[in-house]
Amino acid sequence: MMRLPLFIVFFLLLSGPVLLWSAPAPAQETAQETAEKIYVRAEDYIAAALDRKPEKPHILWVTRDIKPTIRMILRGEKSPLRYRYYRTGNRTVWILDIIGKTLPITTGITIENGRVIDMTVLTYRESHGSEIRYPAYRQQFNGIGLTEKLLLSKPVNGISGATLSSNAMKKIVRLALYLDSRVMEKDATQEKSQTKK
Amino acid sequence: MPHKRKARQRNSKRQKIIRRGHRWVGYGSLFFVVILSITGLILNHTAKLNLNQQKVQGEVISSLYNLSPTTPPRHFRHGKLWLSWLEGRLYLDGIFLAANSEPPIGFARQDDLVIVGSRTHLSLYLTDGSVVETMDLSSLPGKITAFGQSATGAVIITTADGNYEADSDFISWKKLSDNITFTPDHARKAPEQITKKILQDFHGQGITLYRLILDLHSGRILGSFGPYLMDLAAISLVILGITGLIQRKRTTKDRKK
Repeated sequence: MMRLPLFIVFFLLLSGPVLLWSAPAPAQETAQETAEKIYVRAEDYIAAALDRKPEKPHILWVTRDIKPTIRMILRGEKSPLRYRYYRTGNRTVWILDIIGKTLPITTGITIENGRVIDMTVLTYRESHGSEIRYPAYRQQFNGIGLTEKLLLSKPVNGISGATLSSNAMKKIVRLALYLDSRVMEKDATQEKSQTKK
Repeated sequence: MPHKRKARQRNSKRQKIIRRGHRWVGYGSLFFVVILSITGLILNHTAKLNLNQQKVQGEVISSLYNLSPTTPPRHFRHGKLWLSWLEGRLYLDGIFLAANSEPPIGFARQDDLVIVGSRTHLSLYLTDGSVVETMDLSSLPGKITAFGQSATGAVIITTADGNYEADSDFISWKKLSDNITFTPDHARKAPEQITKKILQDFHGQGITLYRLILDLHSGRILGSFGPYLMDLAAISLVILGITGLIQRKRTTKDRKK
């Protein structure tokens, strides 16, 4: 019975010098190549989504009442203090960044009447997982909305090998839908107060 | 009869060798097989465990991974404040501000707001490190070639189309006449203590937990020989399976006899 622990100690002692001898290798061997790929320019996406060149953008500030929900949707990921969006009627266009694995993915999301009408990956920076840009994946988001629990109204199938990127896409679409709902809510309350006056 | 006895002796000798081999291969590979299995299990749940968002820091990691920058840092000054950039990391007075940042071409400050201009982005930060907004080319009049501040403190950028001045909220840009001049910001040499501070942070930034576990799993953490050791551990699992099966077959045969 004494043999087993002795052998483990012996093996650890043997592997120690190997570790010290050849230690700095992992940094070079697993270094990821990062290449930024711009599929659609943000300004072109906005113009196409609005059917015209965008005018002045609108700003939605992350106030105290919406901050916890945004944090919940992004699962702790830090959010900026304000979001920029473009609007025509009930259609809003959002250009949002979200971390896929380690680098941000820039996405364009168009929402009309609380439903996604388009989701496009504009810039992809990671070395793997860019399959999320293909229509077969993107089109799953078309017509999707938010449930009362702020979840996506339809299930979205992920892509094997691009799990983190597809999870990030689900998060960002949820966020865009939530931000859109806040904009519309704000409008409704403003309209109500105007009619009261 | 002696033939049978000889065959039985040969068989028991072979059995002994297999049993011993099984035992020693088991002992020898135990440590690596345990690492292989546990790390494999963890890697299977990368997204759920948020491994890519968790950082592992420390001197051991930084020396093991040789975390040194490949390019020198860039520094910009505004009054007494220094903005530094080192391989995607931004620092304000040597304190980490943001990651995944483009190399800046200038910076300005308006009260608590720090405005950093790069070729294709304009980022607004608070001095406490909070990101107010990062604007891309869709929110800018064009690619930024120069960045500075007017005498009144307004941010001015130069694009291929001319000079533009931002409004107080950074929502719209006003084109300036060509005869307006301003001094664009440029990189400067920072005091030794600032450079030291950011290099210290860079060395200590660590790696993601995913990378550490992946390197443990593949054996790369042990250097160039590590993957071969893990290969051996994986092969040993196959050997253990086969020798285990042979032994099991023998014992059931013996029991029947």
